[in-house]
Amino acid sequence: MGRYDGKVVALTGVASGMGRASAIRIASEGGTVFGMDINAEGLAATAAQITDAGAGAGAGGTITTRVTDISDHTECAAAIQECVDTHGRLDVLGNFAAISWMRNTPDVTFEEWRRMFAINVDGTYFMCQAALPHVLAAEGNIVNIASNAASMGQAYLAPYCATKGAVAQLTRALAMEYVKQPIRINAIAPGGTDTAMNANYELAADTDFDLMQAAMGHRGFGQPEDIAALFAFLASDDAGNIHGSIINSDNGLTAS
Amino acid sequence: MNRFDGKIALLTGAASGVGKATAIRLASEGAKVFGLDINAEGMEDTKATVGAAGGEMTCRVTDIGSVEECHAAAAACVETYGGIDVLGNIAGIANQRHVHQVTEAEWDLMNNVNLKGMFFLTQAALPHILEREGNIVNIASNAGLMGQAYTVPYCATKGGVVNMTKALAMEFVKQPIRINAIAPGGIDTPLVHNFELQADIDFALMQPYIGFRDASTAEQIAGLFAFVASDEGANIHGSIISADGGLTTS
Repeated sequence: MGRYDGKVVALTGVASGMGRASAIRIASEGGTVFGMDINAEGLAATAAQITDAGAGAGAGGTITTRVTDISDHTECAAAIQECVDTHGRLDVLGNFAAISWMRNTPDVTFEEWRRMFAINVDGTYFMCQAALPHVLAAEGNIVNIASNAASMGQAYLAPYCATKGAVAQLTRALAMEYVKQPIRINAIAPGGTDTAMNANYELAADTDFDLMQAAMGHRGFGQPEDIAALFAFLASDDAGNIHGSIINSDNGLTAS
Repeated sequence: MNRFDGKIALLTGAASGVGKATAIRLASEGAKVFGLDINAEGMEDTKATVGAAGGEMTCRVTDIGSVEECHAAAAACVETYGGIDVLGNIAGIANQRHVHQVTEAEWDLMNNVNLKGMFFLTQAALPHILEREGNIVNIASNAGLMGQAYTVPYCATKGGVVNMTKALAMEFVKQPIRINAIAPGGIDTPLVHNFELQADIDFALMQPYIGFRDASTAEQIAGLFAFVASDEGANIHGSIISADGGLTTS
């Protein structure tokens, strides 16, 4: 018997990284996954891995997908509606989708700043707003993905830090607003993780690595599967008393 | 296959509450449990429950307020089972007092059990945990993260646990062990049941740490402990994990 038997789990960012690993993990524990991403190809690859009858992790599981641009709040509402129309309910929302890049502050354009907020903050908030009535009906829960960047200052990442600080705080505020109702709202704050996001960072020529040491840490990257395991614990009934928590899973980055 | 097959867990506070629930949980997942507590009778009861489910547990009556006893207890665990994979510093005491009521003896006892005992048992266990690349889970409290009226000594010790955990995590960040803490809110355990409410309590000051949700069960904290202490928590180091129904959210 799986912890997610009979549960419907909507996840954003399913085309890669932690979102993909979590979709596979949830499917392997019996959950029905409603997977979203703007990257149709990656989304299809994740779905294929889950629906494959082979022996891989999550194989033989259930997933439907919807190409979704979460920076458009009407798309958030439409996606959640499709999830409920297709699967009849929504137990868990996992907000994984996010973008990041490193820039010296003088080089950040207004359009870049707005795009990062539109995806990381607007998208997370309006997915929560759309999902809440259904999560309340199912007495389920929401897990947002924050970051160590939510609680540490990181050079060359001011917009990203601002968006992840916002995710942490909107998580806490939602948790207080719904504290008297039987749902749970939490966040995971990963450190550097071995995903496409981290592989794609482009460093400016004059980057001062001394300033980056605190955010690099001593243990190297975590694996997306580590975050998926924590997500699967936190979103399950095993974590029934965890509400309003921001859980650091960062190999010690935020300990100092 | 169980998450704790072949693992040895040294747990304090094993006679009741979270310590008892954690002993039962880890044993059910394959661990050999070496339990410590000052309460012999309660610990035997835990052992009987573990044994009835087919689990393995050894008890040692230990006052962790004594440095000598901490070192002797860690050595006894290694002697009995051959090492230490997981140290769970769970034992803790609490009471409710106005500041003017607190005696030196009360302050010292709380510090000895909640903070000093945790440090010196950790000191004794660390070489063995390093040898087996294991981990430590300390039990802090929401009281280590928020100011609570009428529990100043308790808050001080639990705040100490929070930052001791982070400092240990930094000291050993380059070595292959993990050190974390769980910060529960109110739990349905004897520690909470035994609170004697003092006269002249202003209940308005207590509202923030009573919160809006039911107390946790000891079994819920044990479930989180088992996750963090297992290989599933491989990426979690230096974390203080709140499991408190939202107490520390505002």
